[in-house]
Amino acid sequence: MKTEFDTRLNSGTSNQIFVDPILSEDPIGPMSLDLRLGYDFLVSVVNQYPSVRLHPKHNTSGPDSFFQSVRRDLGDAFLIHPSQTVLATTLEYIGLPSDVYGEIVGRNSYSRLGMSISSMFQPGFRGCVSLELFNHSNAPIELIVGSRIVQARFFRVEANESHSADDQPRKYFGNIRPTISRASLDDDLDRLASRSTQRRW
Amino acid sequence: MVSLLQDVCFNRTGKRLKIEFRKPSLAEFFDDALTFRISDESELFGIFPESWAYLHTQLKFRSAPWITPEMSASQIENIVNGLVEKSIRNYEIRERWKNDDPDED
Repeated sequence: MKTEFDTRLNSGTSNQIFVDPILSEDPIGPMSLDLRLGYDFLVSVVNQYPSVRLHPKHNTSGPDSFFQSVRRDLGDAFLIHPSQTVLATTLEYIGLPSDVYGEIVGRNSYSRLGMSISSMFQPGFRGCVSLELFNHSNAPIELIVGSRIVQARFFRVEANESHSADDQPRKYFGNIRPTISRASLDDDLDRLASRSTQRRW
Repeated sequence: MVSLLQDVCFNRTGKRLKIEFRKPSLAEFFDDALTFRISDESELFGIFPESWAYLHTQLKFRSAPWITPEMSASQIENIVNGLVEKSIRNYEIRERWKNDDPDED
């Protein structure tokens, strides 16, 4: 029997759950879908700055100076070291309708290796889902580009959200590669800075 | 001149020069900020002129539903460029996956 998820997956209708590419039918469950590791990475690196600073005035030591862009090809290995944070994306481009949101959980096989992966995506989402990878184990882990690394679970919500022109601007709309944190672009940071007496601002 | 070139090509290769690409209907997908599923090589090459035309239309008329009032031209370019890049990349990935499948032999 077909579930609602089956019916909506790439149906071409306005309420479809769009996923491209789907390379095989294996990863499709009754309400979930295994997603694959993409080919672009942002790898955390150590530099001369003592900390990541989020105030816009400190653009020399902002989040982007702590990450390095790396690209691999389908089937290539990618090494993630102990206690290293890596930003990646799913191989798949996802489009969610206005009444569905998704949660990303790491596949159990990868959790058992010490990998932690977290993410979620909102109704109306468009793009490759951003994955924050962290290696909790004490050994480097070799990941394979294109391997099924996370499971996406989809939930229907009552209130319709959308990506129409009436919406608030979204920081990560339509991204196809990992994006460095844009926390420093949050509007309220300037306001908070003006209230601080610390010189570091 | 063109007919001369056509004759030379035909005499040497047995083929005539012709437009090999087919322009896909991108707007249906790009207006919804979705990638286009390229089905063959003619669409692969056709996506370039078609996406270029789509980008110029959006920069001029801002008609796609995902374009917010405060969105800059550079942001629109980034999103359209991402859609084109990912459409092409997904076609390549699908083709490679299909060609590497041992069950296909």
